[in-house]
Amino acid sequence: MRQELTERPKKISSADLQDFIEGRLSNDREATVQDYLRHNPTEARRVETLRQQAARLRQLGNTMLDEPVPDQLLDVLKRLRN
Amino acid sequence: MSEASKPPDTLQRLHQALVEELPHLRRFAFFLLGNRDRADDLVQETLTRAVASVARLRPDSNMRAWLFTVARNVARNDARRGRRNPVQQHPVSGDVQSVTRQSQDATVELRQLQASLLALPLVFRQTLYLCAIEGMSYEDAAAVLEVPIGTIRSRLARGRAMLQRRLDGEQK
Repeated sequence: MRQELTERPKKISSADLQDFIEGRLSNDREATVQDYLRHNPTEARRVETLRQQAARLRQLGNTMLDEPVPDQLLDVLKRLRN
Repeated sequence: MSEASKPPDTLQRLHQALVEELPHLRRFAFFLLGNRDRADDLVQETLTRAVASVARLRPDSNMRAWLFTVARNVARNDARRGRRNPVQQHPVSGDVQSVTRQSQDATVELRQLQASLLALPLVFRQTLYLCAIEGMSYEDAAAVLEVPIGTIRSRLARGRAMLQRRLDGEQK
């Protein structure tokens, strides 16, 4: 029997797409979503835009974590410890 | 249960965690209020409140989620009393600091992103913060905001779409 060249992607839910954008899928599931997106260019563009947004938000967050904590707050911690 | 009757290691664990969590707490407070000075006031009050409420801290509690819950409650009570109202419009510029090593373009882009995020309504802003910036689980975010997980998911999706519309609008 001849093997199908293009296998139909398994059913993808909107929750799968969201978790893909959020980077919260298992590797297996992520591969399945990527396969689905290869067959759905319009959806792929929307998802890619939001993936980029997600990466930039993480970058924004990281720059803020690097900031030094004001002495005033460290003093509060010291006072609370004593 | 009073603080005195709590095993001392819980208090010790809290003090240790406060040091580690301080940068995260400041970041959360900033996105709640949109203003650095008021955010640090909120953090200060949160630290005091957290130590006073250590009896309510369970050994299996996620420390960050617990501290954020305390911060959110303090902010809500303040807002009810007309103090520290969240700023939704015209956030102060120059909030992205520590970016001197990055190119000017990247700094401008991050500032726009920060301003766009701060312009979102509070429920979307805090959901995006917890899930997209803090990387918290949907479960922990739901606990902090006291809503079902389904609400977190829908606010996250809607918040991202709203944020993207703002960002796209700025590019035109």
